[in-house]
Amino acid sequence: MWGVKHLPQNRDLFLTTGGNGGLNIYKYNYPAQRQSKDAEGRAVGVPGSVELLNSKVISTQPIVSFDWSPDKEGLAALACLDQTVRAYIVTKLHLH
Amino acid sequence: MDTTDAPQLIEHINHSVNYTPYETCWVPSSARLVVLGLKPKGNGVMEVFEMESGKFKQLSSRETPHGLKCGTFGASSLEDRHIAAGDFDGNVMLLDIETGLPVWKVTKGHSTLVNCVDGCGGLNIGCGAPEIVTGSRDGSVRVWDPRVDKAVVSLEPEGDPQDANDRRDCWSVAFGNSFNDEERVIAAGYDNGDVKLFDLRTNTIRWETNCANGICSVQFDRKDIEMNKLVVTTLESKFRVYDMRTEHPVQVSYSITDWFILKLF
Repeated sequence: MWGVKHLPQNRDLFLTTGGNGGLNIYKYNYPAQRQSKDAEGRAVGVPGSVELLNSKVISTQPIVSFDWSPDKEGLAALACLDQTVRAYIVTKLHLH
Repeated sequence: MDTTDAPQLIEHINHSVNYTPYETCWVPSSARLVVLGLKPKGNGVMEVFEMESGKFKQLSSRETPHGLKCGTFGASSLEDRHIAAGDFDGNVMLLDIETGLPVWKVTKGHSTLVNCVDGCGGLNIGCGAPEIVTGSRDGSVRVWDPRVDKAVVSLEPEGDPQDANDRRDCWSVAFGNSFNDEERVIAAGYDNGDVKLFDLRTNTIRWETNCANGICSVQFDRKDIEMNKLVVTTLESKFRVYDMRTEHPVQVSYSITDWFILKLF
């Protein structure tokens, strides 16, 4: 019942919407090297890490839709099963 | 988590509606928003709002025969800005946001509810022809070219299509890897935790995995670059991030370079 949306202006930031009415914003940090070799010399990927930047519960009902504005960084619209449509502004995204 | 650099989530507008909203899409290059939803009587609604002095000002409200479940501008041109939508009766369409009327429609593109839609090749982003992909409760994933009334590609579900308890239910679809005129993939997530990566150039399943819980959402970090990261969210408040850049030559699959299982609050 919940989704993920990457920020159009920064592909390493993404927001998840929760069935509990919560919004969580995360950052993916790449490892120093994205590839290494296994025992037989084949390329294998290397894991990065995920950092929770902030979260907020905004309703008691699930958030069913979330859309970042393609034009204004940090502006978003969402739909909630409490029959509301909301606009959110997420600040300081350029710092990450 | 109130550090000085943490992004703050600030509510700007809170607007009540008299239907169940299922999709919100910004109209590209504008301050307008399209909301798709389901009216109590079962018909659909498409409303267009404009942000004006801290409020949503309603510009139009149009009804459709069946509840609207999902929509996207991803396959639209910047000139037309028609929204691709799927409804509760299995119909797939492009709606004119001014008139609310379909400019292209496939009646019963799926036999039942269209859960999810994604679009590619529009909005002057990326390469290749405009295409729409839909996933349905009937378990199939279908790719549409909005100049043709038949699916270009159809991924039929496993199990008995007549038996709702046996067949799969597709909950999420996403385009990716569309970095030139030929390459394009679809990621699809199903109720049983299956994730399938379908290559549209070679018409083959390129990779599949299972995440144990139903897949609520799949999205590539970008559609129009060589596959980079895929985020998969599941029931039970978990998600995984796959690094899709490194293909393991022997297993012919992408190594799961990481799967973060983070507890959400």
